[in-house]
Amino acid sequence: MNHGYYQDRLSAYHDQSLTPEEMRAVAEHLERCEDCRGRLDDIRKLVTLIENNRDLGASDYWEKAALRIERKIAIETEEKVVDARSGWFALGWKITVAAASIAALTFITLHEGDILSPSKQIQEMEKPVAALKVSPVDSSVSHKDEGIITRAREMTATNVPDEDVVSDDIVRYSIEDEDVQAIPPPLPAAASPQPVETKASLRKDLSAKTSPTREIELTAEPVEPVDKIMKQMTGAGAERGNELFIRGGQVGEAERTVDSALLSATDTISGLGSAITVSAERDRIITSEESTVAKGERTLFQWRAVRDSLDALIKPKNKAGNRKAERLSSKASLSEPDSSTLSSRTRGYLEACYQIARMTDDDTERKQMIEELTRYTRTGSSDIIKIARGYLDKIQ
Amino acid sequence: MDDISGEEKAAQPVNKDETGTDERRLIEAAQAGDQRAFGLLIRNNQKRLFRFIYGLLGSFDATEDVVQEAFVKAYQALDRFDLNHSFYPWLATIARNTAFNLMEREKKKESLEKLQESGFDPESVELGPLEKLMNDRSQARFYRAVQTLPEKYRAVFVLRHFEDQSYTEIAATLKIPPGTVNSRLFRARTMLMKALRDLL
Repeated sequence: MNHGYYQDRLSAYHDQSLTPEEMRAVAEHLERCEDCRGRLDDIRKLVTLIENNRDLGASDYWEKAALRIERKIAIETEEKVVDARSGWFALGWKITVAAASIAALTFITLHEGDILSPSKQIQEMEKPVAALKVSPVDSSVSHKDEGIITRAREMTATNVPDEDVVSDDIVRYSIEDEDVQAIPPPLPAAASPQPVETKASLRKDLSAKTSPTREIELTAEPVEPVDKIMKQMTGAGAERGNELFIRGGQVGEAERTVDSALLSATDTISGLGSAITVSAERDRIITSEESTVAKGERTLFQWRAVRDSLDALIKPKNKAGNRKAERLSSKASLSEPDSSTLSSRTRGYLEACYQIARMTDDDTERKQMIEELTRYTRTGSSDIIKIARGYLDKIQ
Repeated sequence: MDDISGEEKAAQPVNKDETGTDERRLIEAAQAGDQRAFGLLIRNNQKRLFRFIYGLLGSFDATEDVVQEAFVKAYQALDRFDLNHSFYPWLATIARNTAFNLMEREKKKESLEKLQESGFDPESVELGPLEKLMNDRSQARFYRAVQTLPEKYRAVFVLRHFEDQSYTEIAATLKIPPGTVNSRLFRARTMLMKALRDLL
């Protein structure tokens, strides 16, 4: 064997990764080759240098990085849950809507004369509403509008007979549910967020993407009165009204129905003022103001994620926040938030700060949250100041 | 998780972390939904994982992304983790596969290869944010030198010296013959000896 053969094996010899025969041969060569002994010594020194320098230094970077990972987990886990749900919702609703469409078209064909008769339609619209259970949040709905809801419910019963196909989660949003009223927020009623406008804008956004099918609308209720109802309802109640309207009225519009199911799905995972990312097969929609359902389930991780998400949305000057906001908005189909949306986000942000201050064991973090709440008692609208003070009172 | 290879299946003793907490208990708690326990697993393993992935990628930002993604994947797959094994090798496998996928996607943009074409000059390498994590100037020089290694040599070097893998394990990880592991490691060490001669 020549000198080069042994040189090439010195590295593996150092690591004792040669075959026993090779190890013996290299060892014998080393006894008579000073050059190879010198090279082996260099390898040993290099390995020592590596072991002395490979560990990265202590820094507060690691704790910050760990917190970022925890927040990402909170966000990703939440998204994943919604992803799975929306997928099944979409599938279930597509099947249901397809069946409903066929039934509706058959109905139209058989009753074309009745449906297109204006006097008949008006009579139908003015039917009494004795069977309808109206929750407290729906109390402002007019008699005529209730008639529309009743009619829509009847249409649903007629045209969507195979409700078993639909998941329990959707069935739960029927107008007959006992739990239609929203879960009360922790603040006094006067200070509680009212997410109606955001819902309305989101619905508007969805409507814009949906092509009208006038012919089918003739079999259901006109759009305008139902939108009016929706404006008079709040939170989860509005959601359920929307659900009912779409299921009863827009039986031929699969896209809109799927989106409606998606909106309903957000109820189960959202928290007060939280930034929620919801994915559908076609779109990703973000809404920052949702109903208060299930917010009690939020963990400290999730409140931190909520805080960071809303922080990015309400403080665009923050560079990191900008990136976050860009990331979120890239998934969103919502337009620029208006002032009421921003105000709702701020309220959600304040609640996240309050919840973190309440739940965290970290004194520094608690102090930071208290400082943040205190900052909002000095700035912003009177509404925001009042909320921030309310939370501070609760903490202290 | 489909992209987790079977090599981490080799039974290894259950670790205790720096604070003496039984890793197995932490994992069990995390599997039961205790997020604070998973937070401890993050803190106990992130530094080593970061070093490993940075060694592979040579990019601070990309390393941050991969490490984050690896922990998220690990959290989501935690139910399937076998408590008879150590956590870190499993986590590192997830991270490594994520990093390899990223490297595959970014291959055309590989800047380190271009660096090689312009000459082997460790001093020209910018560590960027990693500089803040350096203990001293010698360590910064060491990391610069590692970064200038060609990708195929660097991967072998990092698996051997940062992850303490055997030649056989490296061969399995990179899907190359053990002889190639030997020759690549030999070349990587030779290059580093030249670059860091005055520190030896």
